[in-house]
Amino acid sequence: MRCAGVWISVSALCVTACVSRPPTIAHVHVGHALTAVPSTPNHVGYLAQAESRAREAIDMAQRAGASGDLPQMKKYVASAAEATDSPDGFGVKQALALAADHVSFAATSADASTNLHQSAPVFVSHTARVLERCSLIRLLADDVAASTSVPEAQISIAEIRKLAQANLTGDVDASGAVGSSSAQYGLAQIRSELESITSRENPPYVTVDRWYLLNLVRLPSGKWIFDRLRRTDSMEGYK
Amino acid sequence: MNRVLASALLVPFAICAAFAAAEAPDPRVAVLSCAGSESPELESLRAASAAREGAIDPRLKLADALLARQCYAEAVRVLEAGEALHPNSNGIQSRLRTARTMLSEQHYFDARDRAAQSAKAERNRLRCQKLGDTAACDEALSAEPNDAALVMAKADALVQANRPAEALPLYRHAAELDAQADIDAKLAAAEAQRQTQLAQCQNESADVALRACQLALLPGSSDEFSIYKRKGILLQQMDEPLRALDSFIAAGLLKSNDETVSRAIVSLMDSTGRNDAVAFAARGRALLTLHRGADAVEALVRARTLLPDMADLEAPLAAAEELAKNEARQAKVAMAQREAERTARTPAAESSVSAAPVDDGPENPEQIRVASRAASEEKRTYSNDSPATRSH
Repeated sequence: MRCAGVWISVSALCVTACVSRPPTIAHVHVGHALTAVPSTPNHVGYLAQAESRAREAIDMAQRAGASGDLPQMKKYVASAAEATDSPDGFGVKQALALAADHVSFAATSADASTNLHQSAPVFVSHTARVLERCSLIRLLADDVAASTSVPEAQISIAEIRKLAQANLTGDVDASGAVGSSSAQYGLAQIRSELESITSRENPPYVTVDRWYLLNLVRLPSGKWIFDRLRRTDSMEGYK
Repeated sequence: MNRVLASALLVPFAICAAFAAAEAPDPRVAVLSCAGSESPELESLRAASAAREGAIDPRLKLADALLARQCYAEAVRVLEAGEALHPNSNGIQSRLRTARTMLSEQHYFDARDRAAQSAKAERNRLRCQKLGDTAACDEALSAEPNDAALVMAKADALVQANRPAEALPLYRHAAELDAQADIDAKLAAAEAQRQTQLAQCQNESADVALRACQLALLPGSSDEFSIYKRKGILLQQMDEPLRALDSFIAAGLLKSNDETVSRAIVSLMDSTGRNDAVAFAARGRALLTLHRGADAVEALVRARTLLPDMADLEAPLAAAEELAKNEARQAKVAMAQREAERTARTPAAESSVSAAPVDDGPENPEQIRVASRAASEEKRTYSNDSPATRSH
């Protein structure tokens, strides 16, 4: 009887320990794409960062389209390009590429589920059209910068506006449907797909606690650990 | 009971420890295409693995070598076959996970590269079609030369840029590609634009005319010769003899029997001192047109010496040699006649002159040149000069 009491106590302790157990490394990587990550401004997740910058790009492109003053148009378009494709400023392109990278990291983790193994490569391939639009916006912005007349600039700006909008909401096809295939995806469809992947997770994916999201590091050996002792100076982990 | 208790304690801690320190391969490793897939080392590992198909070790060695060489697709195939034979092998499972991930990343990076290329192509198409940017058209067409819409867009851009002669063949090409547009109307408009330039070429002077000639020049058209000739004349007037010679040479290639062009070529060769094979060939043909066989032979032989493989030399050379022979023969006849006239003044010589045979003339090229020199000297005319006169 006494033995049973000890067993119950130890089991209770064990259950408590498991309730507060760390998330899987795979889920932490997914959390970096969805929820929070140390490297973005305000530590938002990469996808949220991409969405926020995409909205800025739309706003700037609309302002450029509404302006009839060439220098002003060039200024707004430069800001739209900066929000879309800027390695230093976490543009849509960079943030989305990192979101895709982290979903790949998740699939690479030893604790990744079969669902993640199978879904991650497909998810990653579906980001290609947004990345392509980002590159195109950058090229067209360079053309606007070199434009010598308002009509010339307006042609590129009209295209930039369409592309910036499609980056957020997806392309409209001939039937009027938005983002109906992966070649027409915008960030909205990409987020839906990632949420759909996480909804199929077993054990279920739950929003990962920020502490775990902000303290995952990779040791020089390649091992991922949570940096409980905050030894980041001696580690190469991404934080 | 104690064993159950120990298990209950240990398992959760083991799971927690595993969660705390999971290992993952570095996914940021640069992914390149498979290199050295035909290396002897790989061949030998493939053979070893095939020889012991059921064994894990040779398969793992082969997989490791393939992964090291970034041959991810083959590594996945090898490991999947191994997984079927050994479903519980940790070595196969961990390598398979890595190989699949690296393969998917490879596809991802390839897709990224393609995305950048596609963006560039899309930008070029947009600028070509909406802004008439001919440089963008060229870039776009270099990737998709038979895209009817692009071909049409470039032709439109060229017409917009007042370059109809370049646009016309593109419209014809677009028609062959079944472009959805009224090609006949576009062709007519471009041809009308070219005719305006042609009129300027013939009627204006100096730079304006020269530019119009250049814009109107359409290879293969019936007026190509006259445009080159006009260009040559304009350039000569503008004191640009080398460029003028180029134009006359081009005109001479299109129509070799024009005496004005021929005289210009001979004259400009003399004044510029140009001495390459193309120029000598042109000079040879020009001299042939001017009926100076021996000189033509000399120029054509020179061209052949400079460029033995030069095409289209044989026919003019043969004609020039034939002409030179005739010239030599005529010279002999003329000399014989002069001799006869001279000796006729002395009765004793009369009979010997009438008996003198007239041979068929020299046979080898050197004889032809030497013998005909005298004859050609008699009737030589100089290019761009006054009408021919005899020197005696």
